[in-house]
Amino acid sequence: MAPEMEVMSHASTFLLPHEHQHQPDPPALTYALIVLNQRLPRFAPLLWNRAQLRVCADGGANRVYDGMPELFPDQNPEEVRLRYTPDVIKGDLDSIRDDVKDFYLNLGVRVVDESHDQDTTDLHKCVAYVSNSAPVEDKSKLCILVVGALGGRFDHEIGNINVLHRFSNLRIVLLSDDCLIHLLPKTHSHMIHVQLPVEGPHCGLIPIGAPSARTSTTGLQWNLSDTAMSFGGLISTSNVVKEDKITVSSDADLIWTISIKKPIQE
Amino acid sequence: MVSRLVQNMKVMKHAATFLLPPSVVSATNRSAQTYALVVLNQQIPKFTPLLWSHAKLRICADGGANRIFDGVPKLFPDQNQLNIQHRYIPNVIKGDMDSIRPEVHKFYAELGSEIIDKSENQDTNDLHKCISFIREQTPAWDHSNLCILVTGALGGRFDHEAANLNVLYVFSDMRIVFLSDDCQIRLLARTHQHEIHIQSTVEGPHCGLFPIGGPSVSTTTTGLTWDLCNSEMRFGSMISTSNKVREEKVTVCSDADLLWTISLKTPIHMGLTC
Repeated sequence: MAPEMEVMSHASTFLLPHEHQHQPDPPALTYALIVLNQRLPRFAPLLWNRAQLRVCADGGANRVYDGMPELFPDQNPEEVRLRYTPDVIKGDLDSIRDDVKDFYLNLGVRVVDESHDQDTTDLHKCVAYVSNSAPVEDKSKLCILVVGALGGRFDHEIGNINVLHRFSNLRIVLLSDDCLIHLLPKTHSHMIHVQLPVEGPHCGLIPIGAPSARTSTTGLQWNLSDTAMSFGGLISTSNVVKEDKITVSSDADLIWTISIKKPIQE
Repeated sequence: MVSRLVQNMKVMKHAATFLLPPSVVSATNRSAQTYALVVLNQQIPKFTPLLWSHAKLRICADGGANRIFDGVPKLFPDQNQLNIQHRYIPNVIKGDMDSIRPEVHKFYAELGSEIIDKSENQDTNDLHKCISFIREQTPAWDHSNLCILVTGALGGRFDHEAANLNVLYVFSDMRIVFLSDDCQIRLLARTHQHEIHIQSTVEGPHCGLFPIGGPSVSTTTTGLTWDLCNSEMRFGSMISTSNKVREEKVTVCSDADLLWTISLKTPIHMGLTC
């Protein structure tokens, strides 16, 4: 591995409550949010408020319609729905309910039927759309947050993880109530600024697509030092963040995962 | 190259007969598999009593005991809950015991569960330890006919899920099946050609084949809607998700270890009274 590899920085500052936003470094990112068809995590409104572009993939629209009012039980559901209206609904539209579709159409939401395209998953279509449409010139400053990609049908989850690999030049983060995952592409060495109020300590590094002959880390309880990792052998799970800066260098694409602390306050 | 492999490789057959009621399985006189059940610490699938009825050995990994204690009675809401708890006693409870509730521990210990509480090495997870235990503790069984059913391996923290998937690869010479309410997963090892006999009353049609851990240069299938033909599969490119079973027999031949997943048709009829 060339020590001169460019460093890519990561920080889950999108999970911090608004008043704690003060990070000058890494540079500010533009966020987009994609909602897939699973129950919303409890911090979905926080992500929504960070995002400049919000896309629902098909039944993800049902989840926003039903789920956002449930996260604000003391508020009028209609008002909550109007506050949390997506920009676009996309996909093959076989899961979105008719009443939900009509509601959003009446509000001027773009509903795009892509049932003709069976070769790519809903997430793939939404990521491609966001990448083309997001209000940011430099794609390295775009970060796509995705909820509903983990759990549920296993082949959907694996398909979603493959989207991270297919768009390895984009920052895409998959989030659930329990954890987040994103790719650490082998083209860079990585610096992860752990947001200790909201994430950790449990973490892992997973060579899901291909083995790693050499991975090195700093900042973990069980650091790797030119260590080989592979399925059938060693993979780094149930590791623990020890410092608030983690570095990772590898000859392979790795999935980084870290637990999310409960509860996240709005 | 693939055709030479085909000539030399033995065929391994798979059939999810553990999803059929016991009466159906014995009536059809299929070659008997011996089942063991491992319950990990996540919500149990609704058909867990069916798996329990097929299993000769039932092991709870630590907090999996809480899941049986709390969860099985809820599946029989019209029956006396304490009676149900007495009928579903695990043979073994294994792990570091930091998740099992004290009252659950006491209940099962008094009713004969073997509690194995040793602080062992931290390099292997609960599932790994349970699989090792089953392998070591059943020397009299025919391990080529042993199938280990696992509930609770998916969901929750992603690194736990990945560690559990890795156990399939570490023990790639064993039959291990992960089950959830939505789907089942098993490893199709590269050492064999595979025949999967689809139990269409309980499983399908959605399925997938994934080259987790390393790419496949050449995979060939039959019986799927989108069959592969000497196809390359790898993360970052094509992997077979949202496929569908088209025939009752699916065959898979690959140069790589692949994960096979198939959806379940719920509700699964258990054919049990309790």
